[in-house]
Amino acid sequence: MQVFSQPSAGSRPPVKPATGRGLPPCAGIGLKYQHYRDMLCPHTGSSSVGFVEVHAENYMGQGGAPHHYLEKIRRDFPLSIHGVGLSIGAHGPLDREHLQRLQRLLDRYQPESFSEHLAWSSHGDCFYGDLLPLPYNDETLQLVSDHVSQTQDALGRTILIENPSTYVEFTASTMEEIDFLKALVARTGCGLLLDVNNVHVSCTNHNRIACEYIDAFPVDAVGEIHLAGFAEDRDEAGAPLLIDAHGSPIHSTVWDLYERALVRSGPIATLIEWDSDVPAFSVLAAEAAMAQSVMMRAATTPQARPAAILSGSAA
Amino acid sequence: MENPAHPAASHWQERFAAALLDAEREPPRGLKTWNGSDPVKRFAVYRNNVVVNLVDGLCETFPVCLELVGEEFFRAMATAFVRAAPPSGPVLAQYGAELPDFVEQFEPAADIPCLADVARLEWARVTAWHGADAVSLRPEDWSAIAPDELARISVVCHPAAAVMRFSSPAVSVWAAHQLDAAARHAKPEAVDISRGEQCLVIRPELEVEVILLPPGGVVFFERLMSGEILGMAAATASASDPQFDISANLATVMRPGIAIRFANNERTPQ
Repeated sequence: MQVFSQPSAGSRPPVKPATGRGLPPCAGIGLKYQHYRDMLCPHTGSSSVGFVEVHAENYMGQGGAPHHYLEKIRRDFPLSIHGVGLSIGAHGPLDREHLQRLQRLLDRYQPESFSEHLAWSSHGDCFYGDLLPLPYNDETLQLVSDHVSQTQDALGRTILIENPSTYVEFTASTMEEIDFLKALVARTGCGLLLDVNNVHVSCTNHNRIACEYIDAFPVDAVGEIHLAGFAEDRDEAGAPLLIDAHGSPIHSTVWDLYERALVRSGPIATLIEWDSDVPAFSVLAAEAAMAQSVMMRAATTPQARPAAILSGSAA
Repeated sequence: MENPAHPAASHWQERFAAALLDAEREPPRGLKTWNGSDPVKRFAVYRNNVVVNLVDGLCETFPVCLELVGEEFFRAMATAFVRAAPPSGPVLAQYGAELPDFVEQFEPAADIPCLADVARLEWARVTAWHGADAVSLRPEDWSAIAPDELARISVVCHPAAAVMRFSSPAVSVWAAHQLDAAARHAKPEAVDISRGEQCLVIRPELEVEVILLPPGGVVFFERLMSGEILGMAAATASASDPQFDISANLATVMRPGIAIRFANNERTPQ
């Protein structure tokens, strides 16, 4: 996986094909420090967890418990590293220091997948710790494409880009999010991370039909799926406003959308994300088992696409 | 930060970013909603996310400070800190280093004794938690040193070890908050808030430890960590504090988490 290329000025990145399917097609969980010991214990049901995902920025300290446990857990489980701080959609240039930190992390842990977001989170010297939205137009497509290509060049690998949860739209948008993502894949060769909860949240917030979004999503580029819970609020006019909160069980609507996506895509590595009010390990394991059973069911429905896993192995 | 390749994008992101931390500021123009509702309420989700995410992180980093002042007060103080000094980079484990100094200047907290010092201790613990790994000297390494050699030995200290000095009893206050509620209730202890305390913050393996230093210990360990030989460090500590307890301090030096190897054994006191 780690054949590093020299960054080449201006040329297309010499990245691998955008299958992104380095992760096994099964259900995994977001690894929280509360569950380090559970993951290493044979009696917690951890062996049924298909992979783990960590936030890159939580493992950028020099040593101590985070690295100690991740080293051990990584020996037994496939690993996805998920960046939340690269700010690929920022107007300013990418943070070179942060890219180097990411590269060191990927060198050390050799994860099966690295992903980031279609969002920005910093401006100038200030980091906001949230995933902020972009208008979708030619100009932002150029900006994001440049940043994705630069990232792939620097890291020497294909990355996955996640569709965001958004709460506002921009008058400056001239294209749909899906068309933006398709164009991004075509321009950079990146893969996509389909966050089904984000689909439900954004479609509800912007009065779009989530099933149509799922049906139009370029599933061939998808290397991973995210599932999570949301919180509910209301906008100024009383319309539902869903918040991507990652602090509750996955909603039945999101399970349905997930199954719909799987019927189109075949089995794909699926992550249970739960970042606030982190529950007992068994709760996460049960959600992962649920995802696993939905994956099995989707694979056996008549209209299901043949399992991509059988043809497409790790890039 | 100007990006010549993408000049037009600066305007809206600049305005969007500026309005995130300043509730008085109008959200950027150019936002829309499908039902024509006022985008301010929706923009408020981002405002709220930014502040709550960062404040939640500070609550985890400074749990004893939070207990000392109560959650409502702490969150209000942390929110003021986030607005005044937002993170400069995406590694949020490094966010909070400036909170203790902010607390010291924070007017509503002025009469809460020890708060800034407890924040300093809590920050030191987080720093140690993420500090580099190293293998400590073992007891047998120390017993291999002849007693008359000991004074001429200097040590390389563990990269996660730090000496802290406070003008308040921050260590006792912090330690009292490590007990469970019942133990705390059973052991009310009058703390003289004018008494300064010193401690070591170390991380021998995975867990961070706080060790209250015996008399004279702070000078001794500061000298030791700067590479001075034990004899010199002890002499300086003894000169600065007549109560310096050589055997208690030597016993502390030999604990795991402090010294990782011997260095400059040949160096002799000048």
